[in-house]
Amino acid sequence: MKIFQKAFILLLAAGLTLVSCDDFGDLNIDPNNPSEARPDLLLTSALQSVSGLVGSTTGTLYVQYFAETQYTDESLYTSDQFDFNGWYTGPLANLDAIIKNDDATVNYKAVARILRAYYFQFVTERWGMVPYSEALLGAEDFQPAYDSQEAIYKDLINELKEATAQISTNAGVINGDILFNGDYGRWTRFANTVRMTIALRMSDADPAYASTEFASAVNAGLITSDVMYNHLEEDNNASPWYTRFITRTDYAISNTMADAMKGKSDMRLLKYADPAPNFDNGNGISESLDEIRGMIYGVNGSIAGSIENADVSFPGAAIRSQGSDLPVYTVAQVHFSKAEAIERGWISGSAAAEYAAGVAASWAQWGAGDAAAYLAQPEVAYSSANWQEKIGYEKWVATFPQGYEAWHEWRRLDQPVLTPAVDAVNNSKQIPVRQAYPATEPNINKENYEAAVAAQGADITDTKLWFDKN
Amino acid sequence: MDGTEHRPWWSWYNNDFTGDGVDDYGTTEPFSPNPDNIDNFFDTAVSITNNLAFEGGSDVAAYRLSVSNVNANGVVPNSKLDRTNVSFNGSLDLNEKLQSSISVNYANIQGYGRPQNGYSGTNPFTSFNQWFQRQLDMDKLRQYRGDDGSIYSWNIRSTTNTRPLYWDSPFFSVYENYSEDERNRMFGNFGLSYEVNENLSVKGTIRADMYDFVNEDRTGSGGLDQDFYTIGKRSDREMNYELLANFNKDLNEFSVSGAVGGNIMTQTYSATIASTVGGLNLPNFFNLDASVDRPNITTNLQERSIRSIFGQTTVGYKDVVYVDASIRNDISSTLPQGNNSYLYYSLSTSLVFTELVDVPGLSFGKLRASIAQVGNDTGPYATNLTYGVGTPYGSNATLAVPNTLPNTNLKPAINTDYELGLELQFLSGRLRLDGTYFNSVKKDEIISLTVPGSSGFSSSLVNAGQFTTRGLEFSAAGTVVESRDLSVDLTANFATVYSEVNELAAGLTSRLIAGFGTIGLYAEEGAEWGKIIGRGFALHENGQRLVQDGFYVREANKDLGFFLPDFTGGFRLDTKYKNFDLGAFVDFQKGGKFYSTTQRFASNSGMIKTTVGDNELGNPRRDPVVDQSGAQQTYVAFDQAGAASGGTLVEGVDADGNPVKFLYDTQEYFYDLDYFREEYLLDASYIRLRELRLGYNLPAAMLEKLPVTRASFAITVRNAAMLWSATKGIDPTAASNGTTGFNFYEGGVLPAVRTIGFNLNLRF
Repeated sequence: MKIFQKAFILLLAAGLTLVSCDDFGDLNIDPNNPSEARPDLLLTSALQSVSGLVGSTTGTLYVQYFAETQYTDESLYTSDQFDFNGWYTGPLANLDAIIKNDDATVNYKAVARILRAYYFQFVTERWGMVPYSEALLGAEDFQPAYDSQEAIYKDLINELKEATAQISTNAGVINGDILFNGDYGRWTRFANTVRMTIALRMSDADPAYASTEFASAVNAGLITSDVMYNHLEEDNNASPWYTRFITRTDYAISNTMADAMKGKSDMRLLKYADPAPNFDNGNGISESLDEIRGMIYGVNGSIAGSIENADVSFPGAAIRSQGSDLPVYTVAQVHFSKAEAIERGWISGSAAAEYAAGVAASWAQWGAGDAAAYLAQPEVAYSSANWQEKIGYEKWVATFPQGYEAWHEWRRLDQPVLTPAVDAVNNSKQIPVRQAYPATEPNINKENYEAAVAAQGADITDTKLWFDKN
Repeated sequence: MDGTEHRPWWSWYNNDFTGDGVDDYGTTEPFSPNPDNIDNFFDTAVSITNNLAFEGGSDVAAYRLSVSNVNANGVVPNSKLDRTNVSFNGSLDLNEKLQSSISVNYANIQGYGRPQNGYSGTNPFTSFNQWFQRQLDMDKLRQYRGDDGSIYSWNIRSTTNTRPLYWDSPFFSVYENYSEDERNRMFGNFGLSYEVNENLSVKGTIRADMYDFVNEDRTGSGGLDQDFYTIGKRSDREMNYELLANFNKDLNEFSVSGAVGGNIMTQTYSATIASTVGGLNLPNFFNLDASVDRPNITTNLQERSIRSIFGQTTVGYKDVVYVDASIRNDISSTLPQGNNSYLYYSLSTSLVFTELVDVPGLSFGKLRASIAQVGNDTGPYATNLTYGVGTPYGSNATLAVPNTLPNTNLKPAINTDYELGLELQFLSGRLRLDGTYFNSVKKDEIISLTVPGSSGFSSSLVNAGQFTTRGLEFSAAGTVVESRDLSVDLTANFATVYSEVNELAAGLTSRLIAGFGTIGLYAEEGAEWGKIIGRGFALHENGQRLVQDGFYVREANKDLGFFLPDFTGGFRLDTKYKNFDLGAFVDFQKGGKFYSTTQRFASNSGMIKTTVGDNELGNPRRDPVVDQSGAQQTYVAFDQAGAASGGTLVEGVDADGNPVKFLYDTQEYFYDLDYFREEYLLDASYIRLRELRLGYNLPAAMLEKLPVTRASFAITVRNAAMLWSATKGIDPTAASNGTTGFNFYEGGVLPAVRTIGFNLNLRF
């Protein structure tokens, strides 16, 4: 039996050595996910979020492009708090990873900076003061302070200038660019257009600065063709307007939009909306404006629910097909912005010509035919005396279906005049002029949240942002 | 529901629903309630259990083999569960000193059509209590598919487009959107034990526990949702290799026993999960090959190992004092090297002091005290940043920065429980009291803490400073009557718990425990755990609800109190009379809150009693609100209301604090109330008859002529009745949220089930 005892002692010694070793080799290295990221894969991911930005619904309801069919909550301004966290943890974090990646070429970094500016502009225009200079620092700063909108805007303009200057055709191509397919000329013109838009947004808040930066951006060269986000004919990359209608029927063209366009015989409406089934001439394709029926906007659920789906027009195939492309920036928008800048004396040129070119470009964009007859109507024809009203209305129509962009411009120009939802449920019953911070911020980023509210005003949808002066 | 002729949903389809051989398109029927329609949906569940066991052995060997099978049909149609267990235990003495033992267990569980839970468009229970109609007839809904294959629903898009709008027929949901799963689990051990001498033995054991699990889920073609199929295959294997030396010795009045040993644990988990994208290219062909777009596929492998060394000892003196002590050191692969070794211990003692001193009136007295620690690691791969593989864009792959920031400096977590208890018995044990005070301190617990997303991450893995939970548990039991034929025992117990976050993480003072849009549950440093913050009623300085334009004013981020109950407890009754025995158990909870989407949407859609009745003018609330000129209004000041005005009373104060009163259109009232989360944050207090049991033992005299030595029969009713609840209509004990593990959020829960069990026990 000695042999057992010896064996036992040996076993014990071996066991003790084994159980007291703290080295597990590569056992805790994740085999499921890479620990290095290629900039092109991060770039594609960051660009995919453009689809959600330009295809989101809330803005389209604020500016009354669409009306909800049965559950009208959003049209009645029910939601006040909106979550900005996803923009930071999603595209902005991915772009930041490219910018901080030593292996990424300057061109990746330049493109990432342009795109980062585009997303940050969107974030500040919805919430106002937001974390910017202290954002995206990970564990270095889990309590990021909020920056003023003025500071953010001005830094974005600077960023866009620096980024375009950084692009070097000698520094190689970029891959994964699903927006411009590596065309640096288009990236530069896109960056200048974003810069022009930010400058214009400051027209009331800091006109001198806005004027200089607007002219500088125009001189640097603006987009010459529509910037579209291309959706694919597959569900994972489909148009959000297609995805929304797979199982539900929540959004119809609003009566505000439909009636305004029908009153001016605006044939773009045939592209914006499908015929209402009960008024369809038989083939399901919009051929006359009479087939299009707007859904009454801003009514409560009991009224909305009493209106049959067959009596209203749903969004048209141009945006509601699986592979429908959605506009990011259009040539029409650029023309209208330039027309306004001419009226303001920031640049030289003919406002009337830019206005007409904008309308024509928009009709061309939608394949709505020749805009000449439309433009000839007295209620459409340009009038310098009423430039705000003329440009405001046409820009509103042309920006469809980019609800948020239209909302930003509506807040700045106060055109077209929109009537708030009659059955609004928010305390003020007014169309929101900003969105409130996510419910987590006053709790998990308390001090900075409170400082932002003290500087900007109450955290409600009626507090006007810095850029929105009247 | 006044009998008005109307065209029901089934009159918009060309089909014979009534069975009279005539197409029902265009039929009308009177509008009348169908009060038992939801009840008619359910089946009565039946569960049958069978057991069989064999035993055998000799001087040196013994074995036992048992097989059992449970076959159950659920209350939800098309749901069933089949479970088979086989277990084998054996031992064999190889010689006088060396003994071997083996245990092998196999379990097979097959689920079919497991009921869904939670708020979802495919869960019929979400529909029944939130979005449904009281006149619907289940027999018509049962006919959800026509002979031509077209799908029928009570909720159509329009009279010309009869596709389902928001809801399928509930029978479509359970018969077409069902899931299937099967788990094969094998676990057991093999041990070799060697007796060195009468005080010392050594044992080596290998333990294995492994399973594979396959689950499939589907969405049938033609219904509300896009048709879909997903299959997941998961397997897990845990191995433990243990070597243990046991000793025991009695020295006069002292007894000493203990063990020292070591263990190596390894875990390997792997999963492959694939789903169709974009629908199925052949209706109801549930296969990945049917995916219209490229299917989504993910694979996952996780490995983990823990190396342990431990010792344990028990010392006893007479039967009066016992002291238990243990110590253990673990080294985990999931923590960073250098920080991955952690030592923890436990110490407990008990003293039966009535053995030492004689306390008058006290028949038994025992004091216990213990400190017990447990060390914890975390899941694999939590210490290094890796990028997430995202959805490809065409042929472009994507990668993304993860949402959770890993932590290269993680430390092990140590949880220490302190407990002090006193047990007393009086009157020869007829009155028994037991009290326990506990204090649990969690130090460096590894949690994923929600951080401001503007940092680039939505959560960060941290060692959270310190959490404390302390509480008091008390029970009193008495034998009220004790005689030859009758005995009555009563037991009452009571518990109260207080939880607090003492310290969170550097720079962070508030933890989001669970967020549901505009209402969330938080833990703030230095405050009670479970603070509820959400959208509620704005109050005037004087404490009254503010009213503006006839309705309450909303306030975001309002402090809505705390989640945990004040106390919980129960009463138990056990009586015996001759051959009968009767038992009853009542449990209760005082305080605590839960958030109910069922109440919210049932109010919004006007499905519950609180949305009907007469108002303060004695008119039906659902009648239109009219002013004194008879004109219909959304709201009207109470003193301006027409005599026949309907509407619901809104009472509060204006901005200046003056009392105001309005009548508000009832449908609008509940639409608007929907946005006040505070309204649907409900009191979770309840008193429930949890169990009732009646048994009967056949007297021995009756069994004499039968080949049976003992026979008994019992009826058990579980979840017998909710005796009282602060919130009507929703069972607060059914509120659940799978991911957070506590009952805060309720949404479309399966109703609580009352189980009636019949048990016949015969011994031969």
